[in-house]
Amino acid sequence: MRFVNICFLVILVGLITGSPVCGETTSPATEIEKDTFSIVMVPWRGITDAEKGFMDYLKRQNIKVEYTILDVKKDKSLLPGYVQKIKEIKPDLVYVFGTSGAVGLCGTKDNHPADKYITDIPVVFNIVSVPVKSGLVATLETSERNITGASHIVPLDSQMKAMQSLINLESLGVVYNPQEKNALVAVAGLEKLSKEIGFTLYKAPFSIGPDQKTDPASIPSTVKGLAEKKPQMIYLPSDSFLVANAKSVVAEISSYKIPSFSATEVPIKKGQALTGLVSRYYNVGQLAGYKAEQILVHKKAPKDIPMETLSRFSFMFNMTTAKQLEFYPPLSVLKVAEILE
Amino acid sequence: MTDSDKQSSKRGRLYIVAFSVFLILAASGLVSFLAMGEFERVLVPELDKKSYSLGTSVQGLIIKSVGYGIPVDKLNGVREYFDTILNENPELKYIALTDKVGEVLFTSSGFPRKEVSAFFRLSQNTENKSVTSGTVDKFFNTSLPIIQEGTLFGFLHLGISKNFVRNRIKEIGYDILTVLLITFLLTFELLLLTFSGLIDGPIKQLVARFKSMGKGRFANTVNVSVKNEFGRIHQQLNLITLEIGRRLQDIEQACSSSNKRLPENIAEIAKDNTIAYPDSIQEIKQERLIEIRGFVFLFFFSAMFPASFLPLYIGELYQPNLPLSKELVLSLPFALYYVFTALAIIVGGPWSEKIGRRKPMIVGALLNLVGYVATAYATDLIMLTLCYSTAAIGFGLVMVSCQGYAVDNSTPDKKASAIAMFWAGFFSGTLCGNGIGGILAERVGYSNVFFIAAFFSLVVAVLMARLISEKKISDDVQEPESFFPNLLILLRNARFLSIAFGLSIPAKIIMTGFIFYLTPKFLALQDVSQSNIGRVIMIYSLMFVFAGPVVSRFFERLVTNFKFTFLFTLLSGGALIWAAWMNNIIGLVIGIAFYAFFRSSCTASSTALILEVCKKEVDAIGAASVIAVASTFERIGNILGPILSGLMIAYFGYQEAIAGYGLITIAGGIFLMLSFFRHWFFFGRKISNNLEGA
Repeated sequence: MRFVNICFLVILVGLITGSPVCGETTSPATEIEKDTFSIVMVPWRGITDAEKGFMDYLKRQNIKVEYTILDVKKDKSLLPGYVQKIKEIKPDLVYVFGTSGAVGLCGTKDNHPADKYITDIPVVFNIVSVPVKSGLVATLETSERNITGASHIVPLDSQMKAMQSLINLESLGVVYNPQEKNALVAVAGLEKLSKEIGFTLYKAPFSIGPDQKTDPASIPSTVKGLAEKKPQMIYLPSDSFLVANAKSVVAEISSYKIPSFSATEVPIKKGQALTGLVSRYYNVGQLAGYKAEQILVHKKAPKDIPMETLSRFSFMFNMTTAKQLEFYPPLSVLKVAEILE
Repeated sequence: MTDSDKQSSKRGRLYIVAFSVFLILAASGLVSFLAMGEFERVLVPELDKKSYSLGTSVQGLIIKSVGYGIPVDKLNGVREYFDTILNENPELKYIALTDKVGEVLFTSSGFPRKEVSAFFRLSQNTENKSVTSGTVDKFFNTSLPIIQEGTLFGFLHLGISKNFVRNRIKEIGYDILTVLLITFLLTFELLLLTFSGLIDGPIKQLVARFKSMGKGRFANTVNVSVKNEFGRIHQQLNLITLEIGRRLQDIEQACSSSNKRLPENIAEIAKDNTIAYPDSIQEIKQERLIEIRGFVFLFFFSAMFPASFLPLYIGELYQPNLPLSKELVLSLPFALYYVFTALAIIVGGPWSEKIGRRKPMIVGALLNLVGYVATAYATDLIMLTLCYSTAAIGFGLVMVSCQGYAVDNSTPDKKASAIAMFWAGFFSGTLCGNGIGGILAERVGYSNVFFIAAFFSLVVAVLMARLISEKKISDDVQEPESFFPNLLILLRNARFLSIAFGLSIPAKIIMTGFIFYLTPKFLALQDVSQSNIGRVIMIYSLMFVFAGPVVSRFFERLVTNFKFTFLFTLLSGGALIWAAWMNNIIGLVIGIAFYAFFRSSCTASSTALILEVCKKEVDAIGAASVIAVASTFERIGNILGPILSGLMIAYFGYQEAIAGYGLITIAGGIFLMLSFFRHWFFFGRKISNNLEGA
């Protein structure tokens, strides 16, 4: 039976935060409706800071929620089964992490037949880099569908300014998964900026294995090829393959004494990438929680809720890597940066 | 009143005003002197404190870096960071980071290595872990240790130039002098207003009445507006006059009822109107001129606040979205301001004659208020232009209706001095406004100065509403002046056109284009403070108020008017060319001073020249109308000035634009000379001076 492998959990918010929410009494002063809402959460790789932020936000707003968690475990093939399961549960709202998860549950704006995708239940997506370019929604102002959500991506030109505050940018390398739409969009953006600003961009896609998936074994050779071109810095776009293999990718890059700049938080925090201008997953999760509140409590239609990213970002700097590379942040950056030791 | 009485009254008034002004100036001067001493005493410790405060912030960051394990000599981006702090704090001359034995590791740009490096090596030792400050060469130096977990890593040094302290004290001194000068003018205006209105005027009237009564004349009462003792004496005298008239009436009635003849001496009195019956007693209206001078002063004082910084404020709002050069675009709000002022004068003149001066005055002050408040909130050039043009309409309305009020409320023989009084209030108001506007802008910011000016407009509007009455002293009904028919009459006179295009319009072009537009921008580019920009513009007004009339009178005795005007026009143009040749702040300041000196001397004579060459027109429409139309026509120069500036700066640059203004002045003078050449003999005699004040 297919669902045997499904991690089917009904948990309360408190499982994450340490105290049960089901039956939890809320402040009598609150004006929010006391009904318990049911939300199905579809995380990509278990509960991350993004999901914690989402659930913490709703808890802080005294919104009682009963969560059902369907973990994708980075396996896209599970998604069609989850769609059917969600249709059976009929929750008040579905939360989904990442572009692959969101497209897998909701289809694209041009292709989302009701029998294959969720169309009649409101969906809030989170940590989707480019909702429009990935075909998920029509515009950022309105999805024109029953979905809305939050993006974690920092505008590329802001990232570029952050890089320029560290080095006098003349050459930049980028490693990426050629199968990942987010990464391809970022690389296209970098190409455009390289012409506008005037720096050389060296592209290094990872190889595709016999199973038609990106091959982690190609990491050393890809990085080596790129390092031989001597870029001043290597950029790590928002890419689930990169996130999953952050440690090995960054270790390879650092072995050539090249600083790495990440578009997302995880490669810096867990993979020891040198630096990056990022949206913290926890904060983006809270923004997604706010969207869910608009739907559940304020009864707004998802298509009327614009998709947004944060307005303030974190300039992260991994000091362990900085010491290893002897690449220290300038004083002006150090003053505002979030230092990880 | 005999001439000697008038002289002694004038002398007495002058003594009182001079003594009061002296007392106020002496008190203000003493307070300023003491404040200056106090300022000097606390400035250095205050700067030390600031150095320390800035130093601890940088020190904290360096300690944090060292705490993360970054070696002190491997710190990154130090010079850039130090330079940012230096840019934000102009009093700081250098920041340096040394190791624990005083060897310089990092410095800000322009670090005076020769002067202070040796001091750092000598003064630092590993035992010294406290903050120290002292004098190093030309600097006040503060040193802070970099200590992380008890280990000394080095020292951070911040230096303030002694010159900065000296310049700061000098600047404050200039500010105090400016304020003292303005205090002098303001006190003079207010004393004149209160003294003449409340004391001198009623006393003079009392003297005149007693003299008249002494001769047995009891046929008039006086309309008394003052509510002090003098007013009460006048009221009592009014009652006595009425009572005597009633008694005369009673005697007449008693005689006629008893069919007796009036005694001869009483009949004579009734006959020659030395005593009048109560119903035929006439009320003498008072001149109400002095109050308008106060309003004019106060209104134009505040209206000129933005003059010294307006081009810079406009520059801040510039966005490149028009297919015109930046300088030209920036000059347009200025030019439109003068267009709307001229329109308000042309339209407002007849309007205020028709409905009375009070309403246009109040409407003008309120429009100015609204315009200034809105200008403070302007977020782009179009909005600023609209708002500032609204203020311009108010400015024009107040100008024309106050001038009209002065004329309306003076006897025919005193109309010329009434207009002169208006201009005296106008010039001293603008002079003070220029100076104070600059000082205020530097201390409270551009937008807030607009709010302060708007507040003054409100005060003026309220005072006008309370104190100005619609009554005129002369009851003669005047037809509203018609500008365009009168202008057509003047335009037919070729010599009038020569004076307008050769003298008056170039003068206006230079006033708005050079003094009010180019000068603030040029000085701001040289990093001159806003207060000093205001003071430079003040020089121009100062020359017009004080030097012009004196020089004009002095030279008139030596040369004929025309020769004098021509010579001074050439000299004023030469002053600008010299300023362009110098191409620095001192050159510009001296150039403006000399330009204004020579030009102000020409202004009065140009008025007399116009009256001389427009004799026929004066006969047809009157001297006042000729002057009014001519001065409105000259406003073409006001409008052209900023546009010309914009074009010349955009296509040639500042230095060439200043020289261009000199050439315009000289070309105007030569044009004037050539056009009058055939009539040279006509100007071989002096032009009568009695019209100069008109």
